[in-house]
Amino acid sequence: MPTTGFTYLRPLTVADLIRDLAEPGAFALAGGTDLVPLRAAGAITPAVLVDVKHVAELRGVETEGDAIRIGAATTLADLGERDGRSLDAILDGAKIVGAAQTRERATLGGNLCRSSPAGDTLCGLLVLDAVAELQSLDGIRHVPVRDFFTGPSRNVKKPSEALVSIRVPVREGGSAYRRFTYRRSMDLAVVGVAAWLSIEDGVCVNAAIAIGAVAPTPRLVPAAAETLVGTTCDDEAIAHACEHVVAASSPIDDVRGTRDHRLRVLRPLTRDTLLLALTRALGSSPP
Amino acid sequence: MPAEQAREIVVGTLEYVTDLRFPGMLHGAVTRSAIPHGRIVAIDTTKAAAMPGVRAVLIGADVPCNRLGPADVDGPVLADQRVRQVGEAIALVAAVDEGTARRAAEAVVVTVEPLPVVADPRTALSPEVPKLHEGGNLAGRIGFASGDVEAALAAADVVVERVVGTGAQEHVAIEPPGGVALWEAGQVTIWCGSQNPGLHRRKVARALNVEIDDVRLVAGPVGGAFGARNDDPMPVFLAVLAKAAGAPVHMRMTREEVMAAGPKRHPFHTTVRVGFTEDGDLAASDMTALADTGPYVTSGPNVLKTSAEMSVGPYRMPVARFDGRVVYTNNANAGAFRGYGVPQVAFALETAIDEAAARLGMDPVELRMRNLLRGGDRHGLYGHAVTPGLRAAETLAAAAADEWWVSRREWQRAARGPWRRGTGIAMAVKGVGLGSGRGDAARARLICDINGHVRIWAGPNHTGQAIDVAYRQIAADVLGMDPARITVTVGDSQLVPESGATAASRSMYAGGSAVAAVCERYKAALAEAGGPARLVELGRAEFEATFHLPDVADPGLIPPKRLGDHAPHLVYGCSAQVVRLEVHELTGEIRVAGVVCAVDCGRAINPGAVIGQAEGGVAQGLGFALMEEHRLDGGRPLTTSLENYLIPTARDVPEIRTLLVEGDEPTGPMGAKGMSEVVIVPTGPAVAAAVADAVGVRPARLPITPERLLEGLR
Ligand SMILES: Cc1cc2nc3c(=O)[nH]c(=O)nc-3n(C[C@H](O)[C@H](O)[C@H](O)COP(=O)(O)OP(=O)(O)OC[C@H]3O[C@@H](n4cnc5c(N)ncnc54)[C@H](O)[C@@H]3O)c2cc1C
Repeated sequence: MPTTGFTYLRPLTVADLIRDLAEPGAFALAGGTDLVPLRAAGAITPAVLVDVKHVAELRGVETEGDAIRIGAATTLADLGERDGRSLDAILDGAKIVGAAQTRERATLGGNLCRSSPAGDTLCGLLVLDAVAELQSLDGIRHVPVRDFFTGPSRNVKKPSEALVSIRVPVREGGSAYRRFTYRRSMDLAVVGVAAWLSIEDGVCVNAAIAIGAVAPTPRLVPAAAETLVGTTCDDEAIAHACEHVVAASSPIDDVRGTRDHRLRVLRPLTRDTLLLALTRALGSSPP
Repeated sequence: MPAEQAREIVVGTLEYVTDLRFPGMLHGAVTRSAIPHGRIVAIDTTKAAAMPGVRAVLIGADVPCNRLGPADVDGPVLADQRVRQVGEAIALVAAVDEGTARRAAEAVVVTVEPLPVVADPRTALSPEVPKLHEGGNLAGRIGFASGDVEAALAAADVVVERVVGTGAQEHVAIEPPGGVALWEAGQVTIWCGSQNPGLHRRKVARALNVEIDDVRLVAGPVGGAFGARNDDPMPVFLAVLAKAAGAPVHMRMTREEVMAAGPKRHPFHTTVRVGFTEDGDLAASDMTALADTGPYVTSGPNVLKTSAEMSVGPYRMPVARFDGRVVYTNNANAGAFRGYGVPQVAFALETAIDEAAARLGMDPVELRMRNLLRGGDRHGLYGHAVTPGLRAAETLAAAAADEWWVSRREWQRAARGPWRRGTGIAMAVKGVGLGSGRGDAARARLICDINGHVRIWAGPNHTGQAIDVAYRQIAADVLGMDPARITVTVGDSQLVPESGATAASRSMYAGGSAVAAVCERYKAALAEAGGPARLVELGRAEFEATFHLPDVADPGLIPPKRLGDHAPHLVYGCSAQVVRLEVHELTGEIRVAGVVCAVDCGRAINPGAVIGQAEGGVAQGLGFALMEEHRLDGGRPLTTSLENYLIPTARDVPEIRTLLVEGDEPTGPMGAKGMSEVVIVPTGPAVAAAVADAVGVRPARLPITPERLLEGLR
């Protein structure tokens, strides 16, 4: 039960946003789907809530040169309606977060800043090599998502920094994200896997695999991706990749699932995800 | 006929009791135990009482009679000597706002000396385990046999033995308990949801040492109950606190409080042996059950009664034995829950029958069909005769005629990849009402005005199932009147004559019968007097009727003096269900594709409401079967919120085909009988049978989580 009040600010420009966030005890407020329950549970006690949703630079999806720029406060519902092949692994995740009501409010930036090991867009951001644009009164920095997470719910962003956008390079290939849950909606990933495959003449020329909810942070598994490069992603290559994925994971027992079960699920889930990414890379419609 | 408040409920404008506001109203909060078992050394309320805005802080010593029921094992209103469960109430606070009240409740300093925790019901009775009550850890026991079961099993051609377990299920009514209490001129009015306003009045009167007539409970609108609002202490908390604070007090539990301190379905460990002849005739059943009721007795022994009676299912059992115990532990207090001890034993029996069918090489429908009780047959354990209104065979036949059962092999053959497919069927029976020897009765009151407008006050209360609408339909039918000219009020103890609980599948049967009876009385008087205006003129415009639920005419093997101890039923309803599903053999995921629910409901007075109850029962049954389990570790809850205690969402509940197997229950109103509990019972065993059909392994524990399923497969 929250027992303290807070100031609510609604900046309209990035300049005002970063000035407001420099206030002591300031928290960015996007959809609030994480922030509000965290505050209610007493986990955070913001003194100032800085609403990021009314800053134009933080909304919308545009192509900028050889990258797609997603405003940090773009809602998952908005993203889910888009049909950007090069964003597939992110969109797969965006479409299954919570329920329709959650997705109307929840933002991509919120999902990234929350940095939950189980965040459903995070594995997709990893395999698609997304870069976070952070701004504060100290200036701008661009942090690749692969360098963003530092631990469960922890990341390199300073409290005074605003996440302004997320840039995803436009590349050839197909990507996908799949998760295992105990029920079919409104559940958090017990295990999540994303994959990106670039295929030329039937042979894999580049790949990335990321795993969620089985390690302290969502993380890439480069060793797994490497085993696929140079193969046709046949059963044997995929089986090898799965071994590396399992080796790279360090799941725990908790109330949501046992370590053993997470490990058992990881293999078939990785395989399914790779097959879906492969189908997409080959240009045929997914099954 | 749709529920009166249906629109308001759906759009969210209905005023629930927790929405009520009074001038000068205070807010209450509860200090709860953080540990499962301990001796209270000291409770220091000074800091809390000194906080600005705090108006009252109460501990056990401040409650005139610090007990929730007639016996010590009913538990205290506020723990003062010992705490026996995480979440147990220790102190109550009233303050000017909810935040202050909760902070003050946290500021109450409770010094507790931890005691060893009784966490495993299987060892709760061993001498080295600490006693939770003076009389030990046995809360109740039923042992009964209708003959020489060992001899019958020895002579049987096939004996199936199953050792199974079922989890503690949480009711998850949408509305957590709460309300308002107001004292005026020595009398208290409590607006708080209840399934049993009469019982709650008695609890409040006892705790405060006042006359029962000085306590009024306005028990609704209630946002769901499912059994949880039977033993709920909230009305007592409200009344005690409002009296001490000298102002109206409002209080509501959070979901987290409900998860820790609210009642659960009794978890069971059950062993069953069922014998058959090689032709598939039942020879005997022998069941041993162990139920965990948590720290206080609540409904434990009564739940065990229905477990015992339904342990033979809807079958002709030549001889049977039931040996059940209900024990105290420091786990979550278990209480009444839709199905009341039957889902647990039905899971044991039905999965044993399914296995027997496989062993005998018989179709599971055929095997059941040849053993079903027909109306008028004698009960397998107690030997009493059951009502001729029971339509078990028709119900099973209806479910088995559904295309989902008929085409089960095609469904299985169409399986692809790691997804295996299966179909299962199961049956269940459940008694209607509290059972024989319990003096079960319901009452109704009717007043007419000069224009012939009729007002009826009737119980049991409406707790979400729109029973008031059914009462109105019955009245309209008996009186041959437009339902629009009839008003029905339920749930207000000042106006509604004592009618018992909205429980035991009795509301339609008992309340509906009382309404029919009072309407008959009015009709006769009307004919005699020549019109409503004349009745008013004569001062004879008010009527009351009581319906006594019929006891069994012949108690069979039960000694007549002990009838109420076993409380056998004359009237039963049954349900047969078919479940088709897919199982992922690598991840253990289960996707239910469809459920057929055939239900023997007597006459369906409000078919829309009956279907609603059937679908809700199946959904809750699927939760029990697949994911719902309140888990604890050494008495400490692990499932603390709806983020980690999962219930099915709309996506998890498949198409449900409800088949109403209508009939005529000779003792029921217009031929109706209760059906809302039995529909939750077959779902678990039908899911288990479908899983066995899909992957060849018969689950022994509910819920069948992916982990448990894969462990079974390995
Ligand atoms: C019912 C429900 C179901 C859910 N289901 C899922 C699920 O299935 N999968 C899943 O991954 N998550 C789930 N979530 C969690 C949540 O919805 C997501 O993490 C969501 O993406 C968070 O976005 P938001 O905009 O609501 O973030 P907020 O709650 O507004 O913010 C989250 C955190 O990020 C910070 N922040 C947000 N935006 C910025 C910014 N632009 N700059 C700097 N800091 C910022 C905030 O200060 C805060 O600390 C669920 C939540 C709920 C309530």
